[in-house]
Amino acid sequence: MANFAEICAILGRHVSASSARTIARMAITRIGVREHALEGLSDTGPLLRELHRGLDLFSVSPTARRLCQEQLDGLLGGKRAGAVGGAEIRVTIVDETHIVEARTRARALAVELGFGRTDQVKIATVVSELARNIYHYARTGQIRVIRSDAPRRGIVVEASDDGPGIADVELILSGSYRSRTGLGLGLIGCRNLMDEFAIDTAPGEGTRVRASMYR
Amino acid sequence: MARTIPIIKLRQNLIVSIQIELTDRIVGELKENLAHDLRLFEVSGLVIEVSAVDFLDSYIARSIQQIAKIAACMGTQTVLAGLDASVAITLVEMGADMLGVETALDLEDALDLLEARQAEARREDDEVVAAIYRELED
Repeated sequence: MANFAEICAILGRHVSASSARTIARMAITRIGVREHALEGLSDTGPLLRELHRGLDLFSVSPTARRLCQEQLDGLLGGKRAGAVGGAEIRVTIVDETHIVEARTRARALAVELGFGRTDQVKIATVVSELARNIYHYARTGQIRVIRSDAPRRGIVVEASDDGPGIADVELILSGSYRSRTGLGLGLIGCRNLMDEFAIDTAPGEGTRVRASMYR
Repeated sequence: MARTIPIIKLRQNLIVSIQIELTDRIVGELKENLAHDLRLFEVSGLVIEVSAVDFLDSYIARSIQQIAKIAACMGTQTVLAGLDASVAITLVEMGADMLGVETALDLEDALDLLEARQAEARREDDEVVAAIYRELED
């Protein structure tokens, strides 16, 4: 079961910190559970309903509300069932707003998987860089973020597209070449921020990137 | 036209506080609006306040550097204020530092810094004028 701070952290991504605490506190008061007893709560259904209701009272955009509810469901629903599944996101990059969607959802997943604040920022940054490369160079493609349990616990970011591919990827990754658009900086940045980084690309054959961070 | 990010003039400075999720479109719009306002208000300082920004990728970091360069071209000094610790670590580790942009811990420090610079510049101006007068009198 999730604790109070984790619930506040997810709410706090969409409303202010004080509103987040208000919503969370209101919800647990209404279901009659104390803050420290949350860990032992077996049925999270009523709590989720109250959190959703609380969110409705605050003026967040419909998109943010839906996203926040999904994240809460992920946090409370996933752990209640003790299940491993469900911890996966997929975003198809077609226009610029999908870059924001991909990094926001990736970050929410990182929160859910228990990554610390700086790692959350790093993961969101990597997803943003890869999504942006897809949008700028291939126009469309897909971002997939999954949890990894073996060989080590962590998170894996995959970006794939059928775009033009990269001709001299070794040169770009060596840092001796800098494109005007910053492709090199983005890819080198991703490699620096993650524990593992692999890229598979050739001219005319699209690009596939796989980057992992372990806990 | 309504602006997504408001630009505030305070004495000799322009202040922008970024409190929303930055899309490429918003960053581009901010760049244009700032260049326009720098010309309009003829200020000497610009503060970009980012304490509410919990994420910066290389594109946005580069855009902020570009804004600072544009401002420098127009005689305005830029200070980036309130960069979040996790964001700073991420930027440095990925190699996308903020070189060339002066930074301050918060808005207050940024304004102090700019005002100190402005006072210094005024003093230098006064000295030059005084020197010219002395030469004329001799």
